[in-house]
Amino acid sequence: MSAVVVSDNKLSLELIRISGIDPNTCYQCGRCSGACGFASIMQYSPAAIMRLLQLGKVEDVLSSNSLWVCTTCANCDALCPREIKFTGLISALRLMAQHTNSTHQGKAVIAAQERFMVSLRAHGRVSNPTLSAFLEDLPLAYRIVRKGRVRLWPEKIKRNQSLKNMLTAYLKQKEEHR
Amino acid sequence: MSKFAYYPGCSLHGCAQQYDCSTRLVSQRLGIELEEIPNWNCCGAVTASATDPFLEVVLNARNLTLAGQAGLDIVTPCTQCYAHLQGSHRALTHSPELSRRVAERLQHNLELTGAVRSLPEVLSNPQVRDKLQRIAHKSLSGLKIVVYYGCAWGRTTAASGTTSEPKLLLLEDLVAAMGGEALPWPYTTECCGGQQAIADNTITHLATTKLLGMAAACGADCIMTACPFCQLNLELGQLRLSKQDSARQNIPVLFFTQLMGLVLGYQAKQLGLPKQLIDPSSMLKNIGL
Repeated sequence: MSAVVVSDNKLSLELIRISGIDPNTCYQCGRCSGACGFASIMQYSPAAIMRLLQLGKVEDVLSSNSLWVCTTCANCDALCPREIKFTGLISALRLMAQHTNSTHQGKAVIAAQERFMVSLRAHGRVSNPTLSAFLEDLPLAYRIVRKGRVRLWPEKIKRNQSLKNMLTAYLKQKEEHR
Repeated sequence: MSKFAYYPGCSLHGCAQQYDCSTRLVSQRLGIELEEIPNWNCCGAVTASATDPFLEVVLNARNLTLAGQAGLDIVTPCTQCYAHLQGSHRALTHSPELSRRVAERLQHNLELTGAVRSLPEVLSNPQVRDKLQRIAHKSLSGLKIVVYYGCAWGRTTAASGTTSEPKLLLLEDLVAAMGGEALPWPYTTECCGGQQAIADNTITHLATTKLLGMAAACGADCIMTACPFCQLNLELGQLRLSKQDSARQNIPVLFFTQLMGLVLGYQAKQLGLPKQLIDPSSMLKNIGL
């Protein structure tokens, strides 16, 4: 029995392949949207995303800010009566959208990831200033630094050459596969 | 005495140093030996995990192997690190194919640690709690606390089944053992937006305003937490709200190990209290600490 249109466009199939999740089991109860603490600032709420996916409108979802506003807190996963791991869909959608997103939050997450990779390759660890949006507020940032709450420069792990080599090779391969 | 491979995580060497020093003091006093994993690397929380789940597993496989080689289970205070270490551990033990790919990437065999434990589980263990009650010379009597685990701990322990029912009362029981009052409140595992501190302050502001409003409405004197992101976010959220309303009553946000340290008789400085952005001194003075 098929109560919804089963989408067979390329992006829909890719999403199912990457995530292992079929959006067609959702019956739109809306608990996920109700539980989501951040739905109010998402372009599409979790339940709306499920409906869009069922209708094959993956591109609409990929270009929305919802993927990047989501904090993967898993309230949605915990409450879904169909046991759909919505955060798994978010993860897969992010992989699909990472090179094409143009939303403010998406760009910020990708930019932070790039800073993280620089730190990780060089030091093996990260320091919070390289990541945090709070740096936009300089008086606040100053207070935090004064209190000794940030390590301005990440620590460097010893004997990290193999980690460095691994990351370099990995990133190179990723770039080649784009 | 139990011994663990200690994984502090980047935050405990950065914005949450108070969590690190209080964890070490309290653990040692309660008979838990922590051996820091040599040359541990970042667990990929927040960053690698957002767009590269495979890399996240690779990064953690290295940490899990370092602990495995020492023959020790891992304990980590940071609930985010716990989520990623534990998640990677599960993924690797469930999938030989993934293990193979990861080992190939790291160019060495994986020798995974037996288990990954979160600090709240380890320090709220009944034997540890009993010892705490026996040797504590001070009490949290009179202090109304909301216990805030944050989102990562709850979903990780639920997924991995590492604690027995009732899962979410471990720290509440600890508060009671220390003489304090753990107030019931609905947001004990509600997300603070911490993952998005890297991206957009609007997201964290939305969440923290809601959490702080509820904590105040419930009459909390103090918010007790187990996550570096949550702790910093809840403090920053209050500093931002104070800018708009300077008469605002701020609520101190302390790590559970700092409160444990206080009842064990350690000094404020030893527990990193001077580093708090919201000063807890008058709250502590009111209860004689």
